[in-house]
Amino acid sequence: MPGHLTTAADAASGLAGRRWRDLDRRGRAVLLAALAIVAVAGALAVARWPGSVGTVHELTAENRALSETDRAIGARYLDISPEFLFAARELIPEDDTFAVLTGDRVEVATPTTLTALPSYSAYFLLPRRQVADPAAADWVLCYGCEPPPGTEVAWEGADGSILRTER
Amino acid sequence: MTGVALLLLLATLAGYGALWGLRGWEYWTDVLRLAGLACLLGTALLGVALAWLLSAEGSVSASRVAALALAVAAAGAAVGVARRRPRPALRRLEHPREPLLWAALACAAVVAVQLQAYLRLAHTQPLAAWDAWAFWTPKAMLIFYDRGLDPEYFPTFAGPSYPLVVPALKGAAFHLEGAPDVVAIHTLFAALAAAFVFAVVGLLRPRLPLVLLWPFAALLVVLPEFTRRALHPQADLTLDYFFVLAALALGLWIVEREAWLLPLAAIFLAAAANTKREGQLLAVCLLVAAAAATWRGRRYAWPRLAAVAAVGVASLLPWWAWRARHGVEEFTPGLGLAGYWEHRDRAWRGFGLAVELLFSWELWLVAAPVGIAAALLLALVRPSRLVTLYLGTTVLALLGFTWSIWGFTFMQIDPGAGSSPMPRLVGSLVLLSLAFAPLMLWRLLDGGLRRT
Repeated sequence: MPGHLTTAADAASGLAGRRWRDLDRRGRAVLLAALAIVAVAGALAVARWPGSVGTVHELTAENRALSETDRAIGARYLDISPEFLFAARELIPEDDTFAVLTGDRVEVATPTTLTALPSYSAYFLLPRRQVADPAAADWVLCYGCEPPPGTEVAWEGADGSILRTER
Repeated sequence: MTGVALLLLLATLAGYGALWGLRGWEYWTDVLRLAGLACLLGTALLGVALAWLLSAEGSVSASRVAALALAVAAAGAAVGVARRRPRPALRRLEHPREPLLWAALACAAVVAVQLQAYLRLAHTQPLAAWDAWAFWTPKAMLIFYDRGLDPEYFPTFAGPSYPLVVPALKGAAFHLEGAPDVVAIHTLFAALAAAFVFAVVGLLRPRLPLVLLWPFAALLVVLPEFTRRALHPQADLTLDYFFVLAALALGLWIVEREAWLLPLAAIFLAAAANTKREGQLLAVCLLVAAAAATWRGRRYAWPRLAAVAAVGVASLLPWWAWRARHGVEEFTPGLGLAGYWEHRDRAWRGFGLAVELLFSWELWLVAAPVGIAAALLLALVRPSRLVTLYLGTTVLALLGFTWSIWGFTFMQIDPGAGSSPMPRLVGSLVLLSLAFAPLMLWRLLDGGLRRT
């Protein structure tokens, strides 16, 4: 069979040094270079491992310490009010649709909060479906926005309100 | 958690069935050795089958997922029986001399403890990664709630033209669980990471001594960027696993010509192409490099490589047909020749970014240099088709990544830019390096050093 590689047993006996005597200087240099590559990979892995596994353990401990709310709102870096999102989940029936409006009447830690809110609520509130046009929605999530006409407040919090439309 | 465990069990059964059909089993130890490969092969087959089902407007349910997996397993077993593939036999225990066994065991211990730590973390991990909540998970949740693809709502999430394997697999796990558990789903990705490590080791082990295998596996599991991304429930690393296993199967086929490796490569390439659009780019790069590597035996190899490519293209047809039916267009740069010329400065800067990230110590330590050093060392000693395959794929993929960032002008060319896919893209080449390095070193040691 062309280019057939030998078994691990043969390989092991070969690597164990049986061939060293048979090698010329170039062959020995190449063998040492090959073993150096393996040594670099192995030594680096072993040296980095305590830090790497430590990081994973720290993250695990941090996650275990999370409240149920924080675990449910995984993307806490977005700084979206959890009570707002949970209220929307509570109020809006699963078959209804919603739209998201944002405005500057809320203080946010990062502008990302407002830009990410529509897509985050599209995920978080599934199977409820998001529509772009508030006039076509059953509900409007108003996060720091001016409530549009034709809506009534169903829930109000510090960061926003959840509005029922006339649909 | 139950849903993920059931999905993995079903995928592994499907993979074992497929392996029986492809190659059969010599010994029971082979069944154990190839467990990781069986898991990922089954995941690939099940993922593509679910993607086809969804693209054909079919509905997904727990019983359908189970039926599909068992059908794949049964089909593989039937082929195994029909082709009289060997059934596993007991093997007398042998004690081959293993050089530097202690070093191999130390590295294997690093892998075991690190993978176990990933699994423990996965049990507690909230859904935090941006793309994961923005579209990969919502798409899977829609597959759970709608039992299929709603052509009105599914395309409203980002990346509507992205292939379906990962949302389909996650959706299948949700169906098997009975609810979309967005914490437990991380366990699936931790398990796929573990399966990948054992798949590479299992595939190479009969050829290589342990000391050439475990150091590279250990380096992989402690890479900073791998640690950061291993549990992300999105498609990047899953794509990399499929791509690297396809490359490894193709590399082994090129040097050994064992027939079962070619369909194995075809399945993994098809899965890669159905996982992310970058998978299609990587598949082209790999096949072109394979064609170059087999230039001397092209009459034999090229028709077979063309067949692998045809399988990949055919596997995408159902998804392309669904998109055509529902008017979901491909998200492409949309630059004409004039546009590329106008933004030509991005080409060189994009290539520089790809190279910078591939060799970034902060992200990937020395993974790529290790692979390249092994390739150059082997090339120095003797011409090798493996080197052509590995370096050819790497260079072509870097050019392909450059082309993508050149064309998408809204992406910043900056290592820290959040909008750039480049840090994720080069991961495929990092994993390729760590899978190919031990094989190339062994080709070097096994015959390359003899006096001429």
